[in-house]
Amino acid sequence: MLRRDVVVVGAGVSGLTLAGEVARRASVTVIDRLPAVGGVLGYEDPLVRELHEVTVARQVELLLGTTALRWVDNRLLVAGPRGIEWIPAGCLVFCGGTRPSTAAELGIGGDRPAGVFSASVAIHLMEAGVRLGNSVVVVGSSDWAARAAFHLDRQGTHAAVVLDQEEPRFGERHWCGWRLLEVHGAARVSHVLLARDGFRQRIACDAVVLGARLKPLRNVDGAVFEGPNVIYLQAVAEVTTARRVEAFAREASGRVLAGKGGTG
Amino acid sequence: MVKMSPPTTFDVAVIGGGVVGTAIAMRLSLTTARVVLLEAADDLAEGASKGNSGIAECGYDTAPGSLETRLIRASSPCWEDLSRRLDVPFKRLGSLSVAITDEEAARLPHLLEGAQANGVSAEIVSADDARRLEPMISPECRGALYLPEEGIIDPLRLTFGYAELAALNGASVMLSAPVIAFEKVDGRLTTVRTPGGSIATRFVVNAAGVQSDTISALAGGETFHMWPRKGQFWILDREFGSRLQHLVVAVPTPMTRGVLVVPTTHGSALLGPTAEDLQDRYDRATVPETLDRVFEKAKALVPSVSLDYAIKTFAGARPASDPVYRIKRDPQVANLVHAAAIRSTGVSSSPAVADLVLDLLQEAGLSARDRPEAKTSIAPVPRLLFADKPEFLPALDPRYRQVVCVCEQVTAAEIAAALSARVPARSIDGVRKRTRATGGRCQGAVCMAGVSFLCSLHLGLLPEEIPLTATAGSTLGIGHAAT
Repeated sequence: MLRRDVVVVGAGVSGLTLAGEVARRASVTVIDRLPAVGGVLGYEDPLVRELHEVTVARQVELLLGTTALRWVDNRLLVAGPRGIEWIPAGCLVFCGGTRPSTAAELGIGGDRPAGVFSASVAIHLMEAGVRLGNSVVVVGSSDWAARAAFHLDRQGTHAAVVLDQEEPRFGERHWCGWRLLEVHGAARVSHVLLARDGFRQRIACDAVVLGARLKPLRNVDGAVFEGPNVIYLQAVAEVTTARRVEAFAREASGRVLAGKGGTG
Repeated sequence: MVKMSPPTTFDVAVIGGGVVGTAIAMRLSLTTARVVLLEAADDLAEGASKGNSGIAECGYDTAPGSLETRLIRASSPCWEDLSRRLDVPFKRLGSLSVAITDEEAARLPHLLEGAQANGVSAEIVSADDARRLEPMISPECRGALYLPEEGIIDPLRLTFGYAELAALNGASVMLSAPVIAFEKVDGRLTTVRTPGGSIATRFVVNAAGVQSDTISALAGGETFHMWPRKGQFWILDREFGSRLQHLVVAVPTPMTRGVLVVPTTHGSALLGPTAEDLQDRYDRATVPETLDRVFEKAKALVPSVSLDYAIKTFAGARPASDPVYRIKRDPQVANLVHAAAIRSTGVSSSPAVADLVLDLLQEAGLSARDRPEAKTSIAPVPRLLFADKPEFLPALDPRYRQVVCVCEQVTAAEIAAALSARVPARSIDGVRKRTRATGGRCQGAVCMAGVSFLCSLHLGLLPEEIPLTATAGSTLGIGHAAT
């Protein structure tokens, strides 16, 4: 495989914007694990279409349905329809989007019953027609949580929203200033325990959706924390817009070009 | 579930599908004895065999001359060969028991004596040498006991490896088969009753872990008492765990073994465990305040541990009892053999426990001789995460190109193997236990939907019907949404 100046992981708005800009002066490959561009916005979004056209016009190579695995000695291991291969590159720009915090990251204790979902999983399952519960507790007010709440609402499922510090954005029943302390249940969630100022509150429910405290989604070995020749472009704001992400990516492309490794 | 045309009578029914029960079933499957393994849960390794520290111990701190020490010492040299034959990740990394205080340093010679009494190679090393061996240990280190024979092993893959080889050799493995009663004729057990039907057998082995006292009572055997000793753990990211080259262990006090910082065979690290004696046999709850204390103790040993690396907390329960290692023929029921009260060392002693149980069964009258034609290994499933030449995997199976769990680098080929094994995964957690999928740093935020759809295809269930765990009623959803 030919050496690239820049390899971009993630074909969402930030990855496409950055690739289009950088491709004016450097060779670029964009990788995404989904078989289409657009990331969370989807390939039909007008901005995604516009950015995609720019990358095609500027001869950015797109490897879709391809997963980036390891960044070792300026080579990226990827697995996709073409097989498993190493792509040599001057630098890796990681545009992997965000994910909600896990139960461990939120410091949630208690049992480990079925019915506790990351908001990203909850959305997928509900899109496939799965009813998660009759009475659901949603934690957080991020875009992920909002999308999950939208699906719950469409299914006619009653949701209570637990907000530690965030402002209410959706739903009708809010527990502002409360923190989810413990999940309880044997096979399935039976109730959760909330805490605020030394008080405890028990809420009966049969599912919990975790959508709080977004984290950058990082899962390429060698680039999970700081990696050599790795640049991260991940907006971890709880609420953002595609245009803001695009502007952020344009600004970052200058940094990538300034710091890119040798010429391929 | 393994189905075979059931013989009218089995020679041995092994009760309990943990690491001890499966090891015994595997050992018996190498003989002419016809074996059935009965597990109450819907998967193997649902008790102490999951949720432990994954150490293949060398037996340095168990009581000299005890049965436990003898069985661990007999098992320890087997791991290189056995792990290869059973496709189980194993590394003999060696451990360092690190003294931080002068008082702990003063106890090292006593630890050394204990290790030497058990025939374990051990050496007290200076603080400088300890930090040369393992640069991650604290600069406060005053010296350490170095035990080169200690190893790490995947306890889940070990349990599944035992079961796969047993099944390959014709043993029946019955899941969701809790024993509810025994039938007896002339003081001998003749039939084991489960909700799904009765199984006729000549001998019974009680390897039911924390429930082995209940099984003995049901069988009319001797009375003893089991209780769970809970251990809470942190799992830290592979980016941290892969830098550890040894097990790092606190110097035990007469009261407790203390906290460990242990690399796992899949690259992460474990911090823990606690040791909490409980009444409730089903309590696996984690308590944030307790885990905070575990974390502080681990930080004293390895200062670079950080909550930034934390990916999960969990609790397991060891089958505690007094006395431990109740491995014997029952004094009241002639054809019942106990393999009970194996507390926290079941992984480490399982090969020799299985040999001993075969001896005890033969003493009790079981006719079983080794079959030269029995298989001694199972076909390995290559893993993308550990492949030296990953680019060649798709030639073995094109599904290696499709990565489902990105964090743990688990492919559709590996998940398909787990779902079509002789003792297959039947839940999302079953897939995790066999492959690590959904068990990584994002805890399934990216892949759990994908894993559930693969389960759906293999199990012939709707996504909402897929069990999350081996517990009945743990389905992903509660029904289908009207659209």
